[in-house]
Amino acid sequence: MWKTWVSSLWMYLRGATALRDEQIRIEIADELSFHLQERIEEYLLAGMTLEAARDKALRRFGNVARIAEDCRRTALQQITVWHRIHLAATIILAVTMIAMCYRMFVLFHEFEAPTMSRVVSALMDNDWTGDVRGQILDTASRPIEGAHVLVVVKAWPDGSYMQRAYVAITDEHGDFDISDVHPTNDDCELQIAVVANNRELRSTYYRLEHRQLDRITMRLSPSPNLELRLDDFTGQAIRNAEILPCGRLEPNGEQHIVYFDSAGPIIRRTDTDGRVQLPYYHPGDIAKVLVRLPQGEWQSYEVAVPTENETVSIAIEKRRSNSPKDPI
Amino acid sequence: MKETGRQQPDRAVLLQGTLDMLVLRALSCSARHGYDIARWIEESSADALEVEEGSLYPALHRMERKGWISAEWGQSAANRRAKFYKLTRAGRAQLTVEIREWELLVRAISQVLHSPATE
Repeated sequence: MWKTWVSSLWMYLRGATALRDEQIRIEIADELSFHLQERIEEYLLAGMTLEAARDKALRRFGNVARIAEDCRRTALQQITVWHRIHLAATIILAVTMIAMCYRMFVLFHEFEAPTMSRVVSALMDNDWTGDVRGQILDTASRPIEGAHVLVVVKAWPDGSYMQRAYVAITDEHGDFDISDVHPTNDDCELQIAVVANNRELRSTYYRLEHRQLDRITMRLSPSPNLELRLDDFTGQAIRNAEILPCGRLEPNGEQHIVYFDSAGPIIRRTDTDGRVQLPYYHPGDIAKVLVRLPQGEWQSYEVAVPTENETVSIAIEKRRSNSPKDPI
Repeated sequence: MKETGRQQPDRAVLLQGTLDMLVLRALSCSARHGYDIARWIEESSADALEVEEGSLYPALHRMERKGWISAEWGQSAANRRAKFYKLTRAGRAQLTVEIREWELLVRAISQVLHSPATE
């Protein structure tokens, strides 16, 4: 049985149904014609005239056109089944394709990147009147003057993403005030890092949901000096290299981060001996720094801060590529 | 099959549905074309049966579709182009089934006919 189905499928696949139909018509006509000729010959041999033999053969056979049509319908039945399966499969495929296209169209519009005008419009709609105010003190609650307060604001207006950086320097009261830096009618995140000489580098993180940031107070403990020396791969001191203290990892795992785009004011340079002072770390910390050689790219390094007041050397490798790890 | 009793009273009236069985039986010995099948049935029944040709060819195509017989074109004894049918394995199995059913039917009818008539 399956052979018949395979055979009819092959027959269907070989040619168009219309062509196959015509072929079947011809074959049936030939087959019935052969039968009638044989029957006429039989009657002729029995002594009938040609006309009488033909009449009798036709009368006995019946309605030739109707029988031929019955045969054709029967022969085409299987091909018709394949044709209907083919049609159904085509319709299902077409409907599936249309559904997929429609789904893709919907997804495309749902996730369409906001245009600049939409971002600007969203920014205009938001109430960016949130301020960042506070005071930086030492552990004895005395104000620290001249501390750099580095603020990074992350917001998602209308499904987009934007990040802004601000810097303030504390006054003689240890106070700082940055106005209109975050939305008060939308969600946002603030990362605030404080860098002051001979004070630990400290950062803190806030997530605001439709509200104003409360006035903040940060207390910084004293920190000893960390001296770094940069040598090239031949052991020569590297002078005038830029050093950015971009993070501090405490022994207890607490991490303090300085975002790259807010850190411009705290970048230092190595002196003629390749030395730079970074008085922001405690012994036992891991100091994370970004280093950029003259005409070079930023490269990140991590050094363990020694317990003794000793110089830590960084040997700058001759890297195959100048591309740095992405600065944060 | 058609009843031809009015013209030829010696010919038997055949039950409907026996044509397939007779065609399959005709092809169980050798491949035949349609005319040959009709002739074989008539001769084998000593002309007691006459195949209705209007039913024969649709039946052949139907049996071909069912996979009981297969067909291919060849040359007849008179060297004419003819379509020859032959029995497939499925057709042989079907013939066995049909013969068994026919024998059961004949036995049952015969039993009824020979049973004593009671009030």
